[in-house]
Order: sequence, then structure tokens, then C-alpha cells
Amino acid sequence: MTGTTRRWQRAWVFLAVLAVVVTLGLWPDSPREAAHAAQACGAGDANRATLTTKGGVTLHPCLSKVTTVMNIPRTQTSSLGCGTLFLQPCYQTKWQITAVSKTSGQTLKYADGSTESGLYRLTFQQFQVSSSATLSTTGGAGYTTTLAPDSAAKLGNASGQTIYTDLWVTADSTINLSFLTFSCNDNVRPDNGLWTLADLFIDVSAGGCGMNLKIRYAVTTSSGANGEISGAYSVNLPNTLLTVS
Amino acid sequence: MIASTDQLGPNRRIPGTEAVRWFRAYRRTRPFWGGLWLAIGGLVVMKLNSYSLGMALTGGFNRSAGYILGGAMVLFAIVAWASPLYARLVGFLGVLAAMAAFVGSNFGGFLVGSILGIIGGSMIFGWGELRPRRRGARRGAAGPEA
Repeated sequence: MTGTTRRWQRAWVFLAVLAVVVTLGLWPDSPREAAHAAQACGAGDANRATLTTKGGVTLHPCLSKVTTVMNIPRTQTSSLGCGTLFLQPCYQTKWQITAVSKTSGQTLKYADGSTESGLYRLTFQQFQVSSSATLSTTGGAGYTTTLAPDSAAKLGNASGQTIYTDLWVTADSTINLSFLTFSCNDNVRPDNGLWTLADLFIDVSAGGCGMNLKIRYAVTTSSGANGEISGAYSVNLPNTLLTVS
Repeated sequence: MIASTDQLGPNRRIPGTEAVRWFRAYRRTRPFWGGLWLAIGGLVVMKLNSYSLGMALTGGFNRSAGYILGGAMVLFAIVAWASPLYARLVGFLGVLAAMAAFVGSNFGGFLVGSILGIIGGSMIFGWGELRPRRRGARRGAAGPEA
């Protein structure tokens, strides 16, 4: 075999090994690992937020700046017959609660040390979704979860204790709630007077027709000790279609 | 009357004969079968990977291991054909890639890819060059075929 051929063969082998080694070394890190790095909460976890739920449970989450958008689109069933003087359109009921309240002036501290004020804490009691809800994040395109039950999908409630869902949302979030003089035709923001009325009428069941919440943080607690969800609780997803796209 | 092939004489040209002879010589001068099994094993590892190529490109080693290791197996098979002088080194690396694929990517294509790769890589490692058959040489008279 000639020296030229030998050199070529050696070059092929060298290039092949180099290609494999370089590929192994330069392949980009996964987003999950990058997210972990982004969520380092500073030395001694100094950048952890301190949050208190409506039920009095104190939490210290490490928050990224990713926003989860929960969207339940409205579906109109008739053009008249609901709301004030029954002159507003009617919409399909897509979620239910047994109480709702709002606390303004919430400030969140993020993992990178920055803070965001002017947020609202919304608390839903016995939150149930009966039609399609979509959860998407601002952390990356193409990660959307759709929840489509054929009857109420709910968390817990099996042993009779109350479940609270606390959401820290931005001021431009809206819900469509049929409650007192409000109808689903109104896009109610957290700074709307409905929430004050709703706080006064605690334990009034209400049905909602839609929502578009920009959630910075969400947590579910129970009325039990320390808000822990344990024991005979369950996640009820009756004939629910869960899709991720 | 239809002439039989015997009547064409010793200088007959049957289409494809040269190609077959060339391929036979090519096959006998490099670790062909070992490379073939290693390449098939690599393709199986890539095919039975859990992620599409688009997801693997954005997902770090966990998602891309099937493509990297399966691709390395195919690459080493091609290099074994192109560089038979280094068959021992390339065969060893091929076996390493196949074993790594077992850990890194769906049990190396649900065992099939890794097993094919280990067998192929071992065949490359243990390969010895055969002497090309000379034209007209009698079968069995081509010298030692290790």
C-alpha cells in the first residue's frame, strides 16, 4: 500500500473521530438544564420570593420570569337574554367556583434578584374547569397544554375539604364571570369593582364563561393543616383530553 | 435456432460481470460485512430514537444521543470501508459507540442496534484482508483466505 493511501486513510479516521468528539462537545445544552441555571436563586437562596396565600400559608418559591397564560375562550350561545335587563349575549358556562377574592398590591421577587410590583393575587375556591382550557407559557414557543374535559375537571374535593387555587396575575388579566350584575360579556380585570363585591359575597357559587389570565405563579392549597393537600384527595379528569402542542 | 451461452466462446461479455467482479474485489479488501452490520445498527439506533431531529437539535445530549451515537456508528462503518488499514481502531470505536447507545438511547434501539453494532464492530476489529481473486483463477486456488 502506498504512503499516499496510508495518509488518506489516517486522515479519514482522524476526521471521523474529530467529528464525533466535536459533536459531543458542542451540542447545545437542553432548555431544561438552561432553565435550572436560570432559576438559581442567588447565594443562600436570597432571591426566593415570600408569598402568602389567602388561607395563610407562607411559601418561598424560586420564580423564573416565565408567564403561564391560562386561556378559556368564550362561546356565545345567544345574542340576547343575559346580563343587565337581559340585553347582553349569553355564553356557555366553562368554569365554576364557590368563592373568589382578590388581593392587590402584590410584589414578586424573581430568581435574578429583580422584583415586579402591581400584581394581584386571585383566589378561586373549588375551581373547576368544564370546557377546554389552554395553558401556554412565554418560556418558549410551541409548548401549549390543552385540557378538554367532557364534565368538570377538578383538583381534590374528595374528602370534603375546600381547595383553594391562588394565582398571582398581572393587571391586564381578565375573566368573564356571571355574578350579580356582571355578565360574561364583560372582560373583568383584577382592578374592577366586581372583585370587591365578590369578597363581600363569599361562598356564592358562580359560573364563568372565559378567562385570560397571565399567571406569574400559581399554587393550590387546602383548608387542612398548613394548606397541605394529602389524604383522600384526587385529581378528577373525567374523559378529559389532554394535548400538548 | 437459439445459441446457448456455451457457444458464445471464452470472450463472452455478460452484462454486469465487471461490476460484480469489482464489487467482489472491493468487498474482499476491506471489512465489508462488519461495516455493514455496524452501519445498519447505527441506522436502527437513529430510527428507534424517541425524538425527532428537530427536538434533538434543541434538547441537549439526552435527546440527541440517538442521533450522535447512531451517526457515529454509521460514520465509523464508512470509515472502516474507506480506511481498512485502521480497521482495529475504527472497530473498537464502533463497539464503544454501540455500547454507549445502549445506555444513552432507548437501550440502543431496543437492543437490536447495539447488538448489530457490537457484532459489526467486532468483525471490523478482527478483520484480515483477503487477497483479491485474479481473473480466471480457479476457485480455492486464490491462496490463504484468513
